[in-house]
This record gives sequence, structure tokens and C-alpha cells, in this order.
Amino acid sequence: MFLLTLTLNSAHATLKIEVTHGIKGAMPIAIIPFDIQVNSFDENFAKLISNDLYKSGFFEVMQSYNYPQKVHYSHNLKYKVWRDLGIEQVVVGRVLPSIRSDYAVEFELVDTVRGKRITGYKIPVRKESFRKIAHKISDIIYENLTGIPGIFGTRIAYISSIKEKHRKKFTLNVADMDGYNAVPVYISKRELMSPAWSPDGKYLAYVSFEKKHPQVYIQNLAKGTRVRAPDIDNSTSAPAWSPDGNMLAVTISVGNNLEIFTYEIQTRTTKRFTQSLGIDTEAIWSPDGKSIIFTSNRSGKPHLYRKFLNTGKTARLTFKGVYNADADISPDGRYVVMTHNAGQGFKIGLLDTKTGYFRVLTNGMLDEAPSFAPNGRMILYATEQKQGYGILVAVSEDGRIKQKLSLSDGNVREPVWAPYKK
Amino acid sequence: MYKKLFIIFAPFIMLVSCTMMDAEDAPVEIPTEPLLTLPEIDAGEVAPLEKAEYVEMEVIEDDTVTANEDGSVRENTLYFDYDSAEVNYDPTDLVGMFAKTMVSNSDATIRLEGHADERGSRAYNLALGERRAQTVKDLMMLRDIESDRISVISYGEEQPVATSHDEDSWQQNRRVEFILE
Repeated sequence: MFLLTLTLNSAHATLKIEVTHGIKGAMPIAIIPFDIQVNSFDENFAKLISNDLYKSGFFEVMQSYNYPQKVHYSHNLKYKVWRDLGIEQVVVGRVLPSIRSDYAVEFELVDTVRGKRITGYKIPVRKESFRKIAHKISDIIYENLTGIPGIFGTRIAYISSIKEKHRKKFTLNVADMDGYNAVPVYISKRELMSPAWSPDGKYLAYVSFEKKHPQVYIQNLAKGTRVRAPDIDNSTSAPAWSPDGNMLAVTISVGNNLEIFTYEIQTRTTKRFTQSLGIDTEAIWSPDGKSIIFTSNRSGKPHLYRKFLNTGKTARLTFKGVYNADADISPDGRYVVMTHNAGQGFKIGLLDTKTGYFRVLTNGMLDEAPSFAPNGRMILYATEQKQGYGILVAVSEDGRIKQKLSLSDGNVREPVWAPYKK
Repeated sequence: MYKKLFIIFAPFIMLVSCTMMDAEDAPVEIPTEPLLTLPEIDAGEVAPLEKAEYVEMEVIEDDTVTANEDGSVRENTLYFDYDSAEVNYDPTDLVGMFAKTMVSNSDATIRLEGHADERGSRAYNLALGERRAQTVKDLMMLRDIESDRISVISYGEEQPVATSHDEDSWQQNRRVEFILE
């Protein structure tokens, strides 16, 4: 197994991506460098696709200097030569001139055992969308070979911070899932927290301390406009979207306690949802919209509970350990991932709500803020490195593949994976 | 979920081993079906920062920090046990001292700022900091300070006094600060 390190220099920050664990018995694949039939083209489709597939952990990507053939059309492949090397899938491609766009890319995914093209596409490409197209190709290959929708074209949001002695800067960022193309969408000298994607991926709700206490805002990502939601002076925190995007669940300080409310965005009406003597916060809506999972310390220690919206029935979900908080739910509604502590430090735990089976996925001391990828196959979370910097880690839901994203000059934390675009 | 994936792979792997032999000398099949065409994909729809509202960075004087650089106990700070909002230890009677000051200065108001250590989730820690400040508010109200003269705010784990990842630092960060206004 090799270590993959990519470094990006951008105007804002250097985000370093590192894969530290791989999977044994992964599917062998070769991505032959594409034939470039246009002038002044210096991007590398094959390399980016190779990196994507490798990082998914499901593929063992053959090194290009070992390739027995450097061809660009499937009909030129000698299948037996590849089969003899144990390579059962080969990708060939070419970059061509295009009338409609800057250029076009064609690729073919070939099964060398059956001697058959599995799929192939021609895609018009504008220069600035090269990475997006390459990720799209990775998604097509991944889905064809695993049967699972790919996530290489998805985005993430996270908070980064730089603190000097009398100077602080907090940034809410949106980036590609591999850490590239990071765009700061809101910058503040005061704390930012708890980003949450709307189900259509067009808005982010988050907590800002700009009025010196925590309050939830919704920001339109395309326009940059923001509204306070709900528009009240109380401290509000921990926003979560309903699956239809019409409502938020938020924690509001009322009286001397913190309770979860639902907030209907169009009508601006709030409705109390929880009532207990303890802290109730960190709501997350189930994908069917019927229940909300949240953290409560009503039993003395923080644990996860599920309350149904129609019946008002509440059930405790977690019993293992002394601390279970900040849940996220898999897109199929079956799995709940959380920040978990059983006395050995804070780790990411995964609960199968169907069987009750619970598993600890990570082995850090300060792992927190887990978020499911939209295909449910990876989980992004935050942890601390020894030097004290917060970094992000993407882990496969079996805990075996890890990919680190770190910022060279500051903390990154509270990652949230965007939904598929609708 | 991983099991599910394996089930998806299993028939494929079997198929591979069966066809491997036959394919050995079989003529190469040349794909003839045309390539599928994808529509153009947008480069992105996140607004550049100029469009988003932007708060200029500035040097701020932090009026709330009264920390000793060496992290020693501060005179306006009450400390808490892990994951607890109970006041178990107030050796210098901070609550009584500040209540007395406010009784003799009837126009004084106080801000109670609750904090938590870095462990665990941020939103839960925000709630915990608020509960700590709220507990102190309740104690001051027991000493006849009016509710509307006491404001409560939580910073959760966002403003640590000590930044090491150990119990020494965590202990200093689980706190409520009294700030007279």
C-alpha cells in the first residue's frame, strides 16, 4: 500500500489530503493516461480519476508505469495481456476538440475478462469544470463496478479558524469532497458553529456569534444573502433541516433551559418540540420526516433519544458508554453515527437502529462531529492532531479506509457532507 | 452495509472465474454501441465571497479576558466538574461577593459567561456552558439580585483559556466568568 499525498495551493489556504489506510482485496483497475487531441491541454484526467478510485478504498489502482499497453480506444486493448496481470477493469479515454464547448472527453470502462465495454461516455467540458468532469467520470466508474452511487462530485462544508493573540478569524467554507476548490462563504471575527445543509444543497444554516451570542442564520449560497432563523433575540443553536426543506429544528434558550423547537421557515412560526429538565439539543431529522433524533442529558449523562412528531412518543436510543451526542442519520434512515465515549476517549460510534448493533469506528481521543456521505458509505468527522490543530477525516463506514484533510495554517472542524444535488 | 456490498460483488466474482477460461482464446469483442452523451456540467453555483456578506477582520480588544497567562485561578471565575453544571466548589464565595457588589451598586448589571472544555460535541458544550451560567444566575437570584440585571451567555468550548489537551487545561476551561457591566 502506498501513501497518497496531494497538496493544493490556493489564495486562501493549503488543504492537504492524505490517505492513511487502505483496503486489502480491493478491485484491481488500470486508468490509462488519456490521449490528448487538442492544443495546450495540461490537465490529467487519468491521474485525478485514479486518485478518486483509490481513495474510495474499493479499488487497487495499478501504477501507470507498469501498463503493458498505452492505448486510448477499447478496440485497441489486448484483453489477455491485462487479464494476465490480474487487471479486470481498464479505463481508456481521449480529450477531443469540441464545437459546443472548450473540448470534449470520451472514456470507456472495459471488462477485460468478458472482453466487453461496460460503459462509455462523451462529455463536453469547459476549462474551468475539468475537476468536476473528472469526478463525474469517477462516479460513473464507481457506480458501474460497485452498484453504489459515487460521491466524488459532492461537496462538504466546514468551519475553519485562525487565532492569533488579539485577532481571530472564523470562516465557513464550502469545498469539493476532496478538499479542493474551497470557497469561503462567510467570514467573521466571532465564532461560527454547526453548519447544516438544506436538503437541496442550496442553503447552509449555521450558528454565528456576530451579535455576541449564538444565533442561527440561513444563507443562500448562490446569492450570499442571509436571514436570522428564527428571528428572535434568544440564543439559538444546533440547526437541522427537515427532509422537505420547509422547517428547521433548532435549540432555543428559554427560561433557564435549552429545548428543541421546530421552526417553519415560510410562516416564521416556532413550536416547542422537547420538554425536559435537562439539556435537549443537536436535533437531526430522520429521512422519512417522521421523527427527530437529539442529544439529551435528562438521564444524567448525554445520550441520544428519538421523538416522533405525530405521536410525541420518545425512546432512548443509546445505552453504551457515558456519552453519546451529535447524531447524524444515514440517508436510508437505518444507521446513526455519533460522538461516543465509553471512558476511553471520544470516538465515532455507529448504531444500526434495525438490529441494535453498535460499533466504534475510530480510535482517536477527541473524535467528534460525524457526518454521513450522501451515499451512506463514508463518514466525515473532526479530530485533533497532536500539534493541537483540528483536522477532518473521512472514514469508510466499516472504519477501514481513512482520508485526512488538514489546513496548514489553522483549525478545521465541524464538517458536514452536502446532499446530492437535486 | 459492508456485507451488502460483498453480496453485490459475489456473483460478479463467480462470473469472472467462469468466463475466464472461455475468454482465453475467444475472439476479441469490439464494442460497437455508440458512446452515451452527457449534458454539459455547470462549474459550480457557490457565490464568490464578494457576493456573500463579509465581515472585515479587525484587531479586537477582548474585554472579557481576564486570564492569567500561566493559567492560575482567576478572581472572577468559578470552575466546574466535567459534564456538570453544579456549583460544588466556590472557596472564595464569588457568588456572594458579586451579589454584595450588585446590592451596593443598584444600577450595576452582570454578565455571566459559561464555558466548557473541548471534549465532546460543540453544540452540546454550548448548551452545557449555558446551563453553568444559568446555575450561577439562579444562585445570585437567591441572594436577591433581580433576574433582569443578570444576563447569561454561553461560548461553549469556543473560547478556551488553556489550550493543551489535558485535564489541567480542561479544568481551567470548565468555567463561568462574572463580568460586571
